[in-house]
Amino acid sequence: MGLSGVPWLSLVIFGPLLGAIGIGLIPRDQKALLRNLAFFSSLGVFALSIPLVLLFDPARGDFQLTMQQFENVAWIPALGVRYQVGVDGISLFLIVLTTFLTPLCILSAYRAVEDRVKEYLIALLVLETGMLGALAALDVFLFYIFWEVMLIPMYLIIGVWGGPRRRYAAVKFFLYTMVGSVLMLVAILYVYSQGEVADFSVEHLWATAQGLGGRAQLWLFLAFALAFAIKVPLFPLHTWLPDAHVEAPTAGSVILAGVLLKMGTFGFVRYAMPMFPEALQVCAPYIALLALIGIIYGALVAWVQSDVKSLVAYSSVSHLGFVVLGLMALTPQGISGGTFLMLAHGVSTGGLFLCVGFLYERRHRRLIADFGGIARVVPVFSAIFLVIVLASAGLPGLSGFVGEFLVLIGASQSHSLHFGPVEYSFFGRVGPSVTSFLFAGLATLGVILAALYLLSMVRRMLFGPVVHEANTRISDASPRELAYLVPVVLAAFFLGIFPGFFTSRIEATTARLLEVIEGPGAWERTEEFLATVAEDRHSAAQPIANASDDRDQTGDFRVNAPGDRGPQGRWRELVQGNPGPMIERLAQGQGDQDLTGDLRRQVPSGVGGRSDLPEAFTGDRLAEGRLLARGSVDQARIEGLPVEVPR
Amino acid sequence: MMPAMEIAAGVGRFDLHGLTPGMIITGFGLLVLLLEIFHRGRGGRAYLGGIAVFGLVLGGMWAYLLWNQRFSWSLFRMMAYQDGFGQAFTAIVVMAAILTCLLATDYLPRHQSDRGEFYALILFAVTGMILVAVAADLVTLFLGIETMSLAVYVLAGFFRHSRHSAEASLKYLILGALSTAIMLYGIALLYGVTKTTHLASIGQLFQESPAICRFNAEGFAVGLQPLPLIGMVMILVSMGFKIALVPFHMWAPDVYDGSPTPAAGFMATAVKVAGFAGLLRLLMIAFVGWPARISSTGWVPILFVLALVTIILGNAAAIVQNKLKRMLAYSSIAHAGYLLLPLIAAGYAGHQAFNGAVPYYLVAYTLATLGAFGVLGYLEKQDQALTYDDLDGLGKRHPWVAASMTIFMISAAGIPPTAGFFAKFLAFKAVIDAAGIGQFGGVYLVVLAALGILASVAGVYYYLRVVVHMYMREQHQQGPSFLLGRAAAVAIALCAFGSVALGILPNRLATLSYISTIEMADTPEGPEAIVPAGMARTTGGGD
Repeated sequence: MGLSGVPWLSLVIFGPLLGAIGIGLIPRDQKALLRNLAFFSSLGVFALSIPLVLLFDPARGDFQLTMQQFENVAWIPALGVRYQVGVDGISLFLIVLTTFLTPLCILSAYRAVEDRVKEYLIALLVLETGMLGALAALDVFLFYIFWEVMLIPMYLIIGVWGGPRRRYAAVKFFLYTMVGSVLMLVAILYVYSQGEVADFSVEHLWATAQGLGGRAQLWLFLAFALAFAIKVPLFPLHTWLPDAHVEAPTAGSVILAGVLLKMGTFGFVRYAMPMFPEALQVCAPYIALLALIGIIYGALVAWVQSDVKSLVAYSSVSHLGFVVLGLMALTPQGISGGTFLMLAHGVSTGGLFLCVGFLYERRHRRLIADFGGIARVVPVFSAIFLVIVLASAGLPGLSGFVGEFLVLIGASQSHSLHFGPVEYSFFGRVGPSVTSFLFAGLATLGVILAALYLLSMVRRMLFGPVVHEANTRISDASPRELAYLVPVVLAAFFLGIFPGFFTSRIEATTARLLEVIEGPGAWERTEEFLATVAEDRHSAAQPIANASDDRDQTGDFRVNAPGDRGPQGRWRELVQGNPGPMIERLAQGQGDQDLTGDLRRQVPSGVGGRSDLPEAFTGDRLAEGRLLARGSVDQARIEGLPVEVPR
Repeated sequence: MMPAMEIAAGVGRFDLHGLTPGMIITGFGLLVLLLEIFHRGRGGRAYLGGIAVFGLVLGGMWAYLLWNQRFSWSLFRMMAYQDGFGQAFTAIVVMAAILTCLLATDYLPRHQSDRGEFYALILFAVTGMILVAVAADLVTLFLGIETMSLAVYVLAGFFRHSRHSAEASLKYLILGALSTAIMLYGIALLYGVTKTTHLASIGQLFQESPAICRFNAEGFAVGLQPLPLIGMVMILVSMGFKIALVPFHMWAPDVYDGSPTPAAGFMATAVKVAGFAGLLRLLMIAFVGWPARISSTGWVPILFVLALVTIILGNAAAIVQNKLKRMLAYSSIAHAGYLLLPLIAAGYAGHQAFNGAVPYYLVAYTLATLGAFGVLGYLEKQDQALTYDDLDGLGKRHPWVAASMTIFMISAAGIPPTAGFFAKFLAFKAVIDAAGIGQFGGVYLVVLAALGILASVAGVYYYLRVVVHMYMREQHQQGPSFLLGRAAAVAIALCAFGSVALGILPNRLATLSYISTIEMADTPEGPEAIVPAGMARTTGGGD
């Protein structure tokens, strides 16, 4: 097919930049032409991103769609930096989300921004290039460049076109992000300097970082996690977000909520988690705890907001807490659900900000009390607003539900969400800890709270009597406004009704990530675990007996295998600076010693993982386990759960 | 590598050949002075700036040709080197001087000081700087520093009518003379112990001689004897004054503030380039050889502390400034701290290759700083210091100037995709690479890198303040408006273009600066030195 002979990714990444250059050549008083050019170039970029989805091979979990000829070339050979781009299942849809939201943003700013239109559009398009580049980069140096490039246009968008406290918000945004990212730079440099060869490529840094000792991993992980946690933002680091959101112009808020925050969670999935599995095992429950606090705290604070925009901003804190919780669960459902929720949140929160912008354009007010009963005045807009709110609240059939549900499932089945040795479990000897269920249960509170604050906002704004006289004169959505609101609604429905379209492409990547993080066979282990659950419920004796034998022989199931050191043991090791498992294995002459070889072969096992076994044996047993598990899984499966094994 | 000790009789052809760039530039300086004699009355001297630029370009090209010969020799009986290092630093100094001359051709007439001496003084200062860069002997080094300094003292006081300018010049002169005295005393002490002023011979003694090193029971050098230690520290203090390290930085903000703005830019950049050239020569050739542990009594711990203090205090002091020139002065102090990082790495891990970051950093820093000083020069009202408020609304009044200024600020703050980012990247990379290689105390280096990079976030704050004022505030009162002269516009555009281009395509310059530091003559490692695994590929650019 001719489609594959085109460097689609590079076209998508640099398309907006070309648009920005084109806009730069047009005189600044031609505002209509400027806006149209920006809109159609971003729309063109969206069109260019569609072949990415078509060409993406759902069965593969590694990076793909790299056109070797153009997209894997030396950039700074002196340092081994390459221009290398590609996508996996996680970045694929985030890229599409970015290209989807940007034209809507530009369309929404046709009226809202009259001052320095040219610069505004250039900033938006450069920002899009930065985001797309950061998502597609397969070279850590390249990623860092794009990561920082995103900052400047966003800073200008908030600071130049924002609200009354824009300068404060812009500088705060910039400084918060910078503190995290410079420490990440030091960490990147450290990992790079430990490598055998000069190579900044993602997979090489994964392997290098995994070979480091426990204490080094812990520090480096903290440096990475700080950068990403600020961006997400996680609970104690979230204070820049409401300021930035409230002061930013509509398009800025949409991009910020829709894509920029996802850079934090994406960074966790792409960099922090696969690079430092040892440290991750130690830190995961604590990060998940912060995420949980963020879920509930964000929801409670959102509840009492009188400003719609800051309500939506705090709801972002809450929703992104779900994403992080899902990622830290380290289960296929958790990671897939977290990824799905990133998309859903991008669509629904982006849509909410567009709606708030719609009202702000008409009334120049953002307080909830300034509205009331406008459903009668603007019925079309109100219907759209209601759908988007329901999507955000997680109504089944709309975008939010699937992601949150998967995250809760993932968290409840997690083996990583406990603070001590796992003695207690609802499933006896094997199974997730009580704390996992507590995490999931408390997070569910966040779902309920979301419904509370969102629906009460809707009630106070849309329904009841029209209190303010000015509200009777609001005009309903114009065709241009429908053109940017309706796609959001459609996307919310599409995400809610056809989640399989997305999860089927995310699953293989999730499986591979878990393999990288926990060693080979993690996916199968979880599936076996599901089979165990089924056994406990249905007493399906025979297959599970085999599975149990398997476990006993191989010391599988990290949490309570005989050789397991438990999290406390791991803490001790990290603090005492024991060498990581990779070093141990190399010292024992086991494992694949080729650090630069195929990652899949040489990933260090999770503690007590399967890779201690001869290859063939493991493979056979895994295949067997998978077959055995299949029947029982069906019973245990809850609908919509992606438990098919890839390949 | 042993110093070449053969002594040629008289002055040879090669001796002069190696100094050709300096001679060309001196010649043009004299020519400018001569032409100035024929002028009476004010104005009409812009063409002298053109002549100066022509001379500098010629000298710079000659330096490039010399470098391309790719082998080193010593000049005038071991008084100077003809090597890649010297020529590379010559090129950087010449670049700074060219930009300064371009900026000055418009600036000086505007401030009623259109006199040809300015260009002549710049050219003479450059001659001194070239001498510093090629110095193979403490005497040459001293001569170069003095030639440079005398010219720069006069440049600082170039506004004869201005009391500020006179004050700046006097301050610089008095403190400069003090630092010169300290350096001379240090040289005398070293000479007293080593009986030589050749850098390479001193270096040899520093590695072997019990008169200089203290040895422990196993025969390992553990530190210095008191006398050479004091001599070395004195020389370092004097160099620290030239490159404005905390706590020898007090003069910098006052002097920059009072001097004509292009001259201040020249001091902040070219003088610093020359200072680092001299410092590298001293540290890599003369003061080598004992274990450079953080805990030892070598220069590594001294520079370690100086770098940390300089970075943190420089950035902190810059935050509280209201006058732009003083802010740039403190930021240039902080940059000197970052520039020390590769030196510390090289001293600690014993591979001069780490210094590859220094020339790159200096180029990036020169472009951003001179560009910023250039912009300020044109905003300036008569003899009145610019504050942040004078920038209000610049983004609307002069969009291109504001855009260039934004690029300079972003580059100085070290944010990609600019040269400044890559420069900081290389500097911190050197430290962290060294931390992985050295035997002991590597964690100190990682801490240094972490603290330094966090302090650079503080830097982001005050650089962004400029952007805030230019774009995010409306103009309140009638601000200064100006017409950018053609030459100055060219200079500012060159700086802006260079800052972005080197950020996007840094490979060539990074390789060149790496090679130039490797090619420094008479270092114990020499060009064929074993370089750390992380750096090995930088020579050829292979992958």
